Amino acid sequence: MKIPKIKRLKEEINNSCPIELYGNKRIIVFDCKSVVDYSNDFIVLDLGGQVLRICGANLVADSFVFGQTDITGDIISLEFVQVSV
Amino acid sequence: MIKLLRLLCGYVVFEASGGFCERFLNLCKINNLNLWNIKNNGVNVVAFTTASEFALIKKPARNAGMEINVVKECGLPFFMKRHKWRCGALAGVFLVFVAVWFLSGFIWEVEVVTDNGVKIENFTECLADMGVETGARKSKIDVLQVQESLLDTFSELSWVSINIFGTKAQVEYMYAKPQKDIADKMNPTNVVSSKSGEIVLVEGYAGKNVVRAGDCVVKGSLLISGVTKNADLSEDLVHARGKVFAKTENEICSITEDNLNAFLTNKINSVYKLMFFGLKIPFGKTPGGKNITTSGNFMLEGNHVVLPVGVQRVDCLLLKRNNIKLKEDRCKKINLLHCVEKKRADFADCELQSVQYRVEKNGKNLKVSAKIICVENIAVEVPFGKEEN
Repeated sequence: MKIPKIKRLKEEINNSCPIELYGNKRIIVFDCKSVVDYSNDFIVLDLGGQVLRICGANLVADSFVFGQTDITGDIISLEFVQVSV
Repeated sequence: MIKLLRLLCGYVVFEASGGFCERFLNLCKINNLNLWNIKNNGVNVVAFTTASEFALIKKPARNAGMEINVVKECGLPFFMKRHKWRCGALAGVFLVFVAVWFLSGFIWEVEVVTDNGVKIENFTECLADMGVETGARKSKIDVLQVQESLLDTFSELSWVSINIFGTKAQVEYMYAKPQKDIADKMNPTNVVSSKSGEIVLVEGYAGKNVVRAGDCVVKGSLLISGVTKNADLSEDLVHARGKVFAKTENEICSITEDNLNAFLTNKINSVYKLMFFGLKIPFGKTPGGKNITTSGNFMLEGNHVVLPVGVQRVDCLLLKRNNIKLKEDRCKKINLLHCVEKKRADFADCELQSVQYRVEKNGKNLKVSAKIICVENIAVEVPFGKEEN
């Protein structure tokens, strides 16, 4: 009975994207699927099942390759928007 | 490091306007096109990419409906492309590297280091004869052979080492400590006289004294015998040793002609030479004939390193041959001086009792002779069977 629970937990962990936040100046999002919206004041990323909205000022994507997105700037807020299937 | 690599490979700053920038970014991501410093200022998107990937960006941009404009091209490939017609500059850079590589194969400085700071005369000239000099090719110097040759040439050295650091040859040497003479006390010898004279004092250390004070001896006479008789009438051979002081008569002389063929100094001429990496370019001609030359080098120095560029000044003291007739007084003085110097050198360890000078004139020659009576040690050890002639 415990094994399916562990499997479910593993699936939940594997399905979520790791995010590294360095204060309010830098954020690294791993396993980002695509960019939904891009602007100087906000960036919306599709994490596959979830959507992350990063709001701030002077946002610059330093790296956008191999599934890793490195965003710097003055970050004001992070929002996770659930995508209904 | 990444910035340096990007500069070496080259990168392009471009701006994309119109269309859908999100779709453009997603298409670039799907095609594994590396973009960085992506900024969206509301009007257009500015981003950086590598020079090689810039050519591949056009398709995603077209698909996203965006127009690409190049803002800046940076890096080595673009620099080379801009200056590709400057062949002279490229050739110059290439020549510089070749020149540095070529010149680094020569010796440009020779440093001599001693343990006590006293340098041997003509050591540098001897080194130059063996091939270790400014301008010599490093590959042609056989260090071991030169070290052995130096030890053979200069017997006062106990150790020599030559190290080549880049374009500098450092030669170190140490003087040998003089060994004390070990007296041979094993072989049987006799003590005989080296000169004729009257014995004043006999100091015999080993052997049998044959002479005593007051005896007159000639050169080669036996003074102390190495054959000793025992009480049972048997004989032993010993190493005879001792000092025998005798009054001897010696004569030294000096002869001078009154007509002296000598050189007089006339004037000094200076000649300058430009020294450049072993080449000597003279500015002037060294005067011929008999002269005395002295030279001095003024080399450029940088950070305690002597550079192979400088100026050499050669001063020539010109001599003129002249016949000088010496007066009798002058000749006499010259001969007397020679006699005194000889006396001082040859009879330094003797007790002088009398010195008599005599002057004789024979045509053009003037002779000064000195008769010296002194007390000196005339004992000389001679092995058995070897007679002194």
